[in-house]
Amino acid sequence: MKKILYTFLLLLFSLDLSAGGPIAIDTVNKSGTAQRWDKNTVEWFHDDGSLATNVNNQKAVQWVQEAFSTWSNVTMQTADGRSVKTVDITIKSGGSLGKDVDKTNYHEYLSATEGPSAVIFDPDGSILEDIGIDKTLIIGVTAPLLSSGDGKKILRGVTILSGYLLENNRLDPDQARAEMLHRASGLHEIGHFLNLDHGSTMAAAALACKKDGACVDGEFIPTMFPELKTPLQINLARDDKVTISWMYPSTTFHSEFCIIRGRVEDDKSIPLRGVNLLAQRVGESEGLTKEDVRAFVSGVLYPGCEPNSDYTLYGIVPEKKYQVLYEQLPSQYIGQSGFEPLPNPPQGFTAATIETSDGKSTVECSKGGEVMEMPVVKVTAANPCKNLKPNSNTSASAGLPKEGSSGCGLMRGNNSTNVLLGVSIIASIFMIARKRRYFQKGDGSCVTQNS
Amino acid sequence: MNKKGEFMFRYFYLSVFIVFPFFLSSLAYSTQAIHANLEHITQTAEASFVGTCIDRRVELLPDARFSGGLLVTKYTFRIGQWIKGPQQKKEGELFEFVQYGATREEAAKMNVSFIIGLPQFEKNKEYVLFTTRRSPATGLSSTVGLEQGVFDVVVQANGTKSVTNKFLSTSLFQNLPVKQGVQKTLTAAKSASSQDGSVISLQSFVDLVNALGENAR
Repeated sequence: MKKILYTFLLLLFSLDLSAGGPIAIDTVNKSGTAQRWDKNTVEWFHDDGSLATNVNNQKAVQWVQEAFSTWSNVTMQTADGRSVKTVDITIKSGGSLGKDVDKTNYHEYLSATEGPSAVIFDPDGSILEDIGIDKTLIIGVTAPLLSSGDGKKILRGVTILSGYLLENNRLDPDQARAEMLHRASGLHEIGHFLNLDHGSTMAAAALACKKDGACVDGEFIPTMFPELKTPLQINLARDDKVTISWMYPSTTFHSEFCIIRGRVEDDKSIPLRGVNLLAQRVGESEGLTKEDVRAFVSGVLYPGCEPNSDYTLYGIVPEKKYQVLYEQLPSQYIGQSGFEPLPNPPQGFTAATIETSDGKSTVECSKGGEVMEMPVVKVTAANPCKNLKPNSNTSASAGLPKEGSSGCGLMRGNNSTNVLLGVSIIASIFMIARKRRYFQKGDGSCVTQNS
Repeated sequence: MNKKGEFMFRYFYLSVFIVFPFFLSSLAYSTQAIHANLEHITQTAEASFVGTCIDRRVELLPDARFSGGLLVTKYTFRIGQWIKGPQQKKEGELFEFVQYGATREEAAKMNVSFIIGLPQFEKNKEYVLFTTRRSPATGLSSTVGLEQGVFDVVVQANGTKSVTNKFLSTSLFQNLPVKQGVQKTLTAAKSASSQDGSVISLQSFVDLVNALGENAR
């Protein structure tokens, strides 16, 4: 009975989130993997009402369909200039919810129970207001609502899109531009729906954007940036594309592109979580350096103060030079804003380039599928995780999770939750008991379901 | 079935029934804010004040409409200086507001959802807040533009008070109205701010907010 209660309590604590990549990660087994939609398939249902006076239901549904399509049809250019599809996720429209959802009946779609995944249109922002959200500066909210007991699959989500800002020139006096801004924000929310968290690349450019919309380098600001800065965010940036691609990878993504991996420690060799790592293309043009950049927050695939500070930078084009850097997360968006695995990530250190073990300031892979291991980077900063112990293993690759490459990363086809739910639940009980021992080791190594 | 087998069967059976209701867990709401300037924040706020957080309570309210209840954080502030609001409050009076959710750690412990980006306030810390209209149905409100409507009050070495906000040096002073009263107080406020514009004298800030409020009338 004690064991049963123990399991029960662990599942109660199974909720957590991380950022700089996925919103929801596996906190049950702490396997270092992001949660994915079950069977890599999303079925969504739409509200029957209109989004705004000038955006009827048909148009609003079309906007949402286009947003899903944008995420599910991401392409990237390979080394030889071919454009290849890098995402493998199936989007199904389930049709109508059968009702006009408003502030009197929205609650069931936000509930932690089984039910349809809904996209709700809130024309006057009254649903947002009902939960205390400022409808004058927020267009939508999203949650991947429910996850499976094994901590690996998303089973239900909800997005609420408000039309309040589309009325009376509130978003922009130019209606076409207002609609583009709204759709960019809708694309952002659908990104959350698919479990993407906020993106942190090009933060300096984003913060320099003017209130009147002037935005130098606006075309490089990620759709998933925490603020809506420019209508250009309707186009996915490289960081957006790379993140959705490693979460739902096509076979091409891993065969055509390379990976950079490493680990961050403080000056006492203790894992340093919450550091922003970037890989940017260099040696060609300034524009390409701004365009071809992706970020990953150290330790983001593990919750709280787990002893892990690994990073993995995906979508590296072979035969191109990349600079790998570390920096502190932008101070504007730390705290409750959601870039980091911690509310208080390390601050007060200077950004720098990470050199390879033979002293080079850039890295380059020769063909797709290669993994480039970086030396452990030491950062002198106050470690927010006080109780972590120094890493005994000095190898950069030791103990790295296999997310997105092989091993315990949750790939398409490695999925049994819906088929054998009961078995899965029981399996998770025994897995949890095993993981308990694993956590005590604290070696951060990858543990698979059949371990 | 032997005793061991029977025990295992019961264990299995009981496990399913205990675990099953919790095989789903709730998660966090994410959102994207539009950046605002101080004029919008001032005019959108239902209430704004300088105050010290004196109480913070996380409660799971029974609400049949929300499965699992409604997780809220109730804040009480002691007013230091009232700037605007439906009711005029005096120094020393209390102001309460109720916000959806809690910190991610608190929400995790209660297995309920929360919204990423909603600011949290510490007890015994002084702030300038711009709060949104209270929902008549749920009583919930928050701050205008999430963290854009929250300013920390800091006491300088010389004893004077200043305010700081993550967005102060970037978007908050952009495109303010060109009317004389606003520009005059803006100039005074800027001269009373730090070189990078991230810290500004409290009184200058309040004067500017009042000027922006006047401008709206």
